[in-house]
Amino acid sequence: MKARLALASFVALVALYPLLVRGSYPLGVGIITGALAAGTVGFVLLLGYAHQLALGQAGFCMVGGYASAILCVQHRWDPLLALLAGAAAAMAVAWAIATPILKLRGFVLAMASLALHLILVVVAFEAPFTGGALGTYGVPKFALLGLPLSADLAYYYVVWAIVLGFVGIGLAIDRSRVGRALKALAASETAALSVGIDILRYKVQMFVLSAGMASVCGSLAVHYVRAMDPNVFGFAFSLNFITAVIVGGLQSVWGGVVGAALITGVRELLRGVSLPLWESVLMGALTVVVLIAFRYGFAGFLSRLYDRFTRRSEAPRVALVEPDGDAFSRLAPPAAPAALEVRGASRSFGALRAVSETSFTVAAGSICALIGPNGAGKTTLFNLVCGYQPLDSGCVLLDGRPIEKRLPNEIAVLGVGRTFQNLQLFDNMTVLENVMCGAHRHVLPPAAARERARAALAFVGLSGAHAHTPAALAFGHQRLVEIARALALGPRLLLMDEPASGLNDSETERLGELTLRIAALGVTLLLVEHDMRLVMGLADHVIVMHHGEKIADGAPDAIRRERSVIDAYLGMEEHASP
Amino acid sequence: MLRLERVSSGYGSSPVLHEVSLEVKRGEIVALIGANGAGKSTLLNTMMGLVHAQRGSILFEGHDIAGLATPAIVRRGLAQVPERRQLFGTMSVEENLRMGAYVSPGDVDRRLDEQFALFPILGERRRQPAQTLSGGEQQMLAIARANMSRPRLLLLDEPSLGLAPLLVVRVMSEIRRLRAAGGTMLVVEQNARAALVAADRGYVIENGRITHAGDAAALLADPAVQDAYLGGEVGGTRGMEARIRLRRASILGR
Repeated sequence: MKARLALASFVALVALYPLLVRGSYPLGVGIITGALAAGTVGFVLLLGYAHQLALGQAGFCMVGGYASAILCVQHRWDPLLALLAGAAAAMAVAWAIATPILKLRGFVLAMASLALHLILVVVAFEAPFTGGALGTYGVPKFALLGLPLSADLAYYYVVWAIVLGFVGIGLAIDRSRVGRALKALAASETAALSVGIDILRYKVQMFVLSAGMASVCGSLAVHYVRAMDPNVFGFAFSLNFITAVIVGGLQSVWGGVVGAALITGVRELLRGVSLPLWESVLMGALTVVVLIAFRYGFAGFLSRLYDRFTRRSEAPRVALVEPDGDAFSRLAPPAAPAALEVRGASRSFGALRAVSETSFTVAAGSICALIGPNGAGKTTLFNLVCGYQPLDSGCVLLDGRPIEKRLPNEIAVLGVGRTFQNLQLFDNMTVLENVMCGAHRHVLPPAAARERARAALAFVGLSGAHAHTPAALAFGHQRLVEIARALALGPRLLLMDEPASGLNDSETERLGELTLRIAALGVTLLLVEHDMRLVMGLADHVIVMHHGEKIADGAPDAIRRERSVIDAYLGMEEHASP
Repeated sequence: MLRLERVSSGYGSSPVLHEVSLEVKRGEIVALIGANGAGKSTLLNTMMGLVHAQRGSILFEGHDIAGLATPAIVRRGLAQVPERRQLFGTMSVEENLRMGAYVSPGDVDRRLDEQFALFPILGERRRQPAQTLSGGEQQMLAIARANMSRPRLLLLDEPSLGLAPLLVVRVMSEIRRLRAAGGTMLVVEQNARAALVAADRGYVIENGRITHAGDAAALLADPAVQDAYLGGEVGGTRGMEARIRLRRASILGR
């Protein structure tokens, strides 16, 4: 409903604007706003969804602008073809720089895109084909299928039709599996990897897409201004992009449209009062005011306003329902459980040997518990098995095949699920969407992904919580959401890191039952846990670690009588007595 | 010292807590136990002013603190040790402690020494980043950091969370030791047994209402409390294990 309302207001405003204003100047402002919006929609996908900042986005506008200018003026290309060629070139350049650079963490993309922009400015000044500092003049008006759009009004509608198309692309991405993957990696890269999301790939895709849209922005502007020179898309234009999407809102592509309209609109209004010096000061002040007043940008503000008027009051408390034991097995027939072997694994952090020369096997279909004092290296061992940290030496074998060189998302795709000691849920999505992310590797259509997620939530007994955000649930219930998400992956081996922490006794007992039912699905289980009643009750096999080394390995009843284990860990004879 | 009278509070329009009354007297340890989602954290957040009480009064040393902002409440002498400890991981032990004195600067060095005297292990590790401490040491650091504001009442949110059995015992005995040194504490715990063994009195909260209250020993012996929170029998640590084994036999056939 909200989406339809947004779309209807957008179409109505765009259609009515030329009728409400007089003269060619306001119409020109409308065209420039549309051109900018084409770029900012892509920028929302990059900054808001993929969480990557590019400081040189105007560089891609230059690519589009020069492609249109040079191809149309010197080579008499059709403007639409030139626009597409520019976009293709911009996307190719973006792909070539993003693929290597995004492997690095931090602000590298921001700096790399800025560097690219600076290089392009120099090329524009010096290259023989750009027209140098004077630029290329006499760019023809835009044409559609060979028909020149001689009237600005026609061009205005074409520009905004393109913006509408870009918004449609953005909204389709938002609703798709890719959109969920992007939101997932924005909320927690660690957890996104754990369900097999190839983070790098989606970041690159959004950068390439946003570059293409920025290039179209450049082409569209050039066909209105009718000239292209090196200063049209300077660094200030990149800042325009950033300001527009932050003011407009990063939560949806509508923010790009709203932001583009706001900043051009405000700038024109200020120009109207003709205080040229004050223009940028007031622009800056307004930006800050919007940021303070509307945390989610102006589009986010409108969206929340709509929610306030239509929201039904939802029940604040989530009650656990009786878990539906068959729900998941109905959807996913038991997989073949995987066997895990760790051989001579070592990992040091500086002088600290977190895991040293540790070997053990977890038989396919068994429940294995890993216990030991805090800081014994249990979580590090999980990270080594799942590929989050490299081994210094040793190897990890899944069904006899080495996996220690693989990336975490590749290991997840092999059917290794995990939950986290410090919860890693996607707080920007509902509980149901969180679990849908778990099914990422199965590439399901939305309805099937939703069905699978519902089944996983029913399996853990959280059917009532679909529409909540994870943060609205009690801590122990959030743990169940993590388990459901890991189940949606369809794991053959599941690693659970302190699943009972934060649960009381009756909840812990229910977790024990849940764990057994997961094992019955055909999943090998490895769990780190401090609750000895759970460990001793569930496990076929217990491994004890202390100071990074394995000190015991065996059946529960043998482990609880081991003197070394009692001294290092159990502490109480209570657990040791039969 | 702290008295809640018929406090209702929650998020938005529907309350999570319904007319909760409880009291903490000077020099005692009071345990608050309950299931996930029962309202324990909401209650703590209400006391700290993070969530506003919709009805009822919260009297701290005779003054109504309901409606005060959190920093003002901390200045009056209420300090919370948050769930999952929330330490500044990359900062050293000493820096974490100094942050604890943020609202009440002055003679910070003396207070540091007091905490190092109370928790010698923290003194040994004063230069070490907090994230390199073991779980139990981190919990002690979280308590010591809260102590730095010289609170009159300490609210501990799940001090046993994620700790090995040996460390749960150690942290609880540290809490007893703090009481012997004159501290007053409200301990919110999932680990009902550990909390009630350490406490003088206890309250049980269910669905936002206090359902049981009394001496900790009496609660430990109360069959209704045992059933719901203590694994169903006196000394029942092994009861749960046996039941899980039975379920394992029936589900997995081994």
